[in-house]
Amino acid sequence: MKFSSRQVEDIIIIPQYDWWSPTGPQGSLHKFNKVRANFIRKNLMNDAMPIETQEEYFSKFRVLDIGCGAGILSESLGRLGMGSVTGIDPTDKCVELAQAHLKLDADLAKKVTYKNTTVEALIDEKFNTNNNQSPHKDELYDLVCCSEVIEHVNDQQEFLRKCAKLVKPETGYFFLSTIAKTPESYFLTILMAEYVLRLVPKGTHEWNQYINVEDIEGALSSQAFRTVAKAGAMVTNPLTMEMDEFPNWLRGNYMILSKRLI
Amino acid sequence: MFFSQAKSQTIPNLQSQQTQKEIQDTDVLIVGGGIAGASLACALSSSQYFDTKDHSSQKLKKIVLLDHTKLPSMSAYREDSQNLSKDKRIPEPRVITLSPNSLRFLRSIGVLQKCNQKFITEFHDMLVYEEMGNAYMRFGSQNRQQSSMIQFQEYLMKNLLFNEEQRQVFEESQSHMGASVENNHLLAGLVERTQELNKCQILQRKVVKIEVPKSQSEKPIVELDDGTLIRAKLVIGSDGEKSKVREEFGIRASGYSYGQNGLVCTVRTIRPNTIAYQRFLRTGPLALLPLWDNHSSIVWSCPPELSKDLIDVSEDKFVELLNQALQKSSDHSLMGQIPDRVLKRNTFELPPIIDKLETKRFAFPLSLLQSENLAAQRVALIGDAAHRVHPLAGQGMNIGLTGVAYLANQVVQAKKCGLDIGDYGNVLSDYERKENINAKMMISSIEFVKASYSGRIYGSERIADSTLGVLRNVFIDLIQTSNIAKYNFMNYASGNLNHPITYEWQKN
Repeated sequence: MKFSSRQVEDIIIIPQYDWWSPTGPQGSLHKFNKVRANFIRKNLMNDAMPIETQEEYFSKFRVLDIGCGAGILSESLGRLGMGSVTGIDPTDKCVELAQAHLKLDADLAKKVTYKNTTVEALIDEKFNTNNNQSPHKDELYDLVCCSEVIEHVNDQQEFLRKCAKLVKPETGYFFLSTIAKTPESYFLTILMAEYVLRLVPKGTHEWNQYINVEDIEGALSSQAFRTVAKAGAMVTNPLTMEMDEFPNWLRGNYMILSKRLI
Repeated sequence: MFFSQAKSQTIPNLQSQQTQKEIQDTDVLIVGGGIAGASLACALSSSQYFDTKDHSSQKLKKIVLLDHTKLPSMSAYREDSQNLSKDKRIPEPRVITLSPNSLRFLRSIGVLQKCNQKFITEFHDMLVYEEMGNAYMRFGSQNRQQSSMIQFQEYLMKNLLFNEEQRQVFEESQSHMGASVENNHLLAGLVERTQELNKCQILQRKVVKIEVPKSQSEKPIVELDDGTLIRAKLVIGSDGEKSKVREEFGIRASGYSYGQNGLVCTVRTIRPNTIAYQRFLRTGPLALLPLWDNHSSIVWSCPPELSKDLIDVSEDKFVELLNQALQKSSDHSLMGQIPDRVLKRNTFELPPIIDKLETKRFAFPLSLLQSENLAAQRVALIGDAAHRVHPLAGQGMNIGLTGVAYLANQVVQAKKCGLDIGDYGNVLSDYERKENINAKMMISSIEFVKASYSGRIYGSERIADSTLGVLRNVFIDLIQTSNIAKYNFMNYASGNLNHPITYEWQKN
């Protein structure tokens, strides 16, 4: 995975020692995490309509969290009852933070593992062992998450294609969340969040790197993915900065869940 | 070599110690099975997230409710309804009033449907009057239709501030003033509904010790009086004003004693009562709450010596004193009576005459208590453990149930989002913030009303009766005259606007 021209590590990752503090510099990510974890849970259940309970259904899931950061989403997915969660991140500092925090919950540590690796290296590991044959179904993932990552990547179409490869054919799901390339998103995520309210460090986002939901859907449908659900996410309470889903407004922060058909 | 030998000697010892006292795990441990604790257990059971996979009796369920007494069962209230004609059941003296919001909460967790509807008495009017002047306030749910100002305000609120759900909730909260129900009847309904949902284990045990976690990775371990050890992700303190949980977690509470006792009993009136009365006497407030048939419930707050005397006197004498206290005309010494043409309509109505005392008289001391924190890492306080107020407004239980609704919402939401339910930063701090706003608002308005009648603010020197009395009488007359002022005063004072709009366990 190649980072975009500006050094993400310098701006976002290194100065933030208390990534896990809900009131710290990543506070808005914690608020957003509630929305995205609930979105994933709700729509997986709605799409599959399993006879068994949520816990039993999720316990069969193998999950990959690409760009796990300090593991905020990985831990949430683990607590939702996913059978196993693997978080990968190319930054070793992040993986250290994630592993340190995982030690606090002994039950969760049995399910969640972190690796300091890239998507490319993971694909090499999975696909090149048997001389370019596609790996066995069970080595791929039932759910691949790629949350707030694609806006930091240079070749986005190529990156999406790689992520899609890791999704289990016919049954696997792919979750992605990012920011749309609209004037509204410039106002909200750069002007307001970075400069006026200073919720996130300056330089976290680069508007040119944002990508619209149509482009994501286009790239995924050529890989035989069907959109299960999509929704926007917005601050609904300006006093507490609490976030909630906005089902029909995908012009700011948005989430999309798709299913691989073949 | 030496090291490994040393290790192999010490480890079995430790292990044997641990196996002697096996620690059982659970998600939520609720200490104290009062109405607050039981309704939290019931609300959490109403969601789908506390199912246990194996229903073998060996393992604890995911919610555990502890109480050292035996919780009441519904049978006493149901059998009675079948042979009502034989002997009519006399209401128990401990009665609580539930606001429309509390009723909505109890309906959402399926408890109100379990209770015997005959013994839940809705009332539509409330009348507050006093001994030291002629001013009175009458609140009624039909007030709002009479005033175009109120209708205009409601129109603005509904169209500018509220969404569809909030509009419905608001409409419901305005339809009546509340309902009165016996404490044990509601508790029996809660226990029955919780058992039906089969996600909560009710243990008749006492807590001996709580081992408070020292680091973030540990969980509190609770020791029961039979030696059982339970490790929980979240411990709930609902064990009353002298909360053991609060003490063990080192959370301080502050408050003061009102220097008053509350005397409760049930009486029979000569005609059915439909209005909730409250009269402020020189010695403290006296409330008459309507119950079914000709029954009413009495809550008489007065100095401890007087309450002792009131319990000791004969039943006939007590009824006589009670009638005197409720019926005697007010002093005109402070202010002359305001003529009826100034007050638009005189809607004052005297309470019915009481002719019989139906139950024993009980008294308990009254105090104000507020816990400094309502939550910390892996612990939350609800009910009387969190705050205890004067019964004069009948709001104690409603504040408690609003807190329970907030906490249950937070915990169920945390389950949906894959958060640790005992985490203070992400989950419990939100409960603490919301419940603090609700409780502080209610406590301040109750203390304000209390102080304006007693002349004492937070235990200070007494302000001269006459000055305060005149001010209060003028103020109350003004409120009674203006429908819109009364309407807003009522909505604020009853906490109608401070309750979760939606409940997480009803959502997908």
